Amino acid sequence: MPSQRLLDELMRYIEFTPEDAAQMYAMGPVLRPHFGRVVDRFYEAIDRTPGAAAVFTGGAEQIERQKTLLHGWLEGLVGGVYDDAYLARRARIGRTHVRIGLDQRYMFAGMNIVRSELHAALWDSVDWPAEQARPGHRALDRICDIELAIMLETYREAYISRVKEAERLATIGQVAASIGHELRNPLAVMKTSVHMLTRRVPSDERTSKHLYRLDEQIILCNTIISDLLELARDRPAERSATDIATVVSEAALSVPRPQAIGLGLHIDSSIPTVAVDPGQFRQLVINLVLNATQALDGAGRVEVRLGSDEQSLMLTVEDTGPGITADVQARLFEPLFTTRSSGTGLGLALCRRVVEKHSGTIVAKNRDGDGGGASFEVRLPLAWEAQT
Amino acid sequence: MSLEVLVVDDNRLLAENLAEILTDEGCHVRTAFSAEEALGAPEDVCPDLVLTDIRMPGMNGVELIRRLVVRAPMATFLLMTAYTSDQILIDASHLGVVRAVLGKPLVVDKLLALLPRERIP
Repeated sequence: MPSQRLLDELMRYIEFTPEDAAQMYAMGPVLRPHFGRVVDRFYEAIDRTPGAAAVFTGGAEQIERQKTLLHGWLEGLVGGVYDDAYLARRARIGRTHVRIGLDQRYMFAGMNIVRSELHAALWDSVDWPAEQARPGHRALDRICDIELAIMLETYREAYISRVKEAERLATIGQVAASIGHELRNPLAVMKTSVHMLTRRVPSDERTSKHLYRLDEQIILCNTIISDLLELARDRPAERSATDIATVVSEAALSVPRPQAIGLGLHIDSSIPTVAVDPGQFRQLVINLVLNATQALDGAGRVEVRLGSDEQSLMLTVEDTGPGITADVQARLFEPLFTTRSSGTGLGLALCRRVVEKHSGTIVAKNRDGDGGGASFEVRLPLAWEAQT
Repeated sequence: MSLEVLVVDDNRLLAENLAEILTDEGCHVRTAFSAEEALGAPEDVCPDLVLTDIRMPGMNGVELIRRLVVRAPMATFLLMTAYTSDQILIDASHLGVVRAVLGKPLVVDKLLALLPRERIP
């Protein structure tokens, strides 16, 4: 998080004074009528630059949203108040650029457009007193420099933390992958021993319960290992025509759950065959159902719905647990983030990974209505087949 | 007559457990703890089913099958592995005789469903 110190330091270095702030505020009425043109120029430049335009994958709608944001940003430029709150708002830009993969060089180009358009507007203005021309242009240059410096700094911070995260995951991944494979052998011994005991021990309720428990925990261990290996390997989806309905119901039923947890399967039988990676998709379902089961603290219901509309396949997993708080929601899909004392923080990260590899989306929210609980909604485009 | 089964795994406990389970199913089971040991058996013992691990010290399971298939061309060959995405799996599929690859830890019912119904005459 950039601190106020960063802003103070920048202002001192660039010699941005309270007078400059006052100048910016005073120029508002003169510059504001030109904001529309600045925004248009800005997006024209992006339009003719394939590298920048490629980042805007959300179509015209996204561009419109971005234009509104840029308008708001220009308002902030002539806001006259450059404090903590201003810094916090501005800091988002650098982070967003890292997230959407927009290279730093476009910041310079973009700022240059803003800067020259605003200078031109000031020159052409008949309302701006001539004796204020020099301080006006100077204030404009200074605030633009500060803006650019904040963007670069926050871009750098976000970029470094992303690289560190990737390195950390790669290391964890390598270690985990070798341990994971090693653990599967003892698990296989346990699993076969449990199988034999189950067949040989005279049936008695408590013995059966504990044998079931052992078997269930072995499955759980293996799920954790599979998640780790899949995350560590990061392989592309190998799509093949898959009977989704069967994969979903088999995967959901394979997740161990206490007796007091009910599982509802609502599968639309008219689901078309979809090209997905069956192994990854199975893991997606297992993790969502497991996550829902673990949110329930021993009792409640999990509902799995599978349906489709014209564009997408929709998979929803809901539970009647406590739901998701806002701060958890923001980090839910981060690798190694967990709210449980014994959670690995891999399951939902893997879910997001799988969904992204299938060009889909995953959203976590709280269920509507009084029942409470969380709802995870996955959408995968059906049109994939048409593209190949 | 009971099925002749050969179980090969360097993990002795797993090999023994599998032998026990298959014996309970009425099979006649021989275990080996390496591919070399499995190949050391007298040539006239011809298994109906070979269940082998893939990665073992020394010769791997795929190479073992490549050699056994000459002796027992009618046998059913099953592989076991802790590595679900292993380069060796591709070699295994090229052999063309592997009926299934079972991931560890094994789902025993899946294994039992793959047992050949009767002994090769």
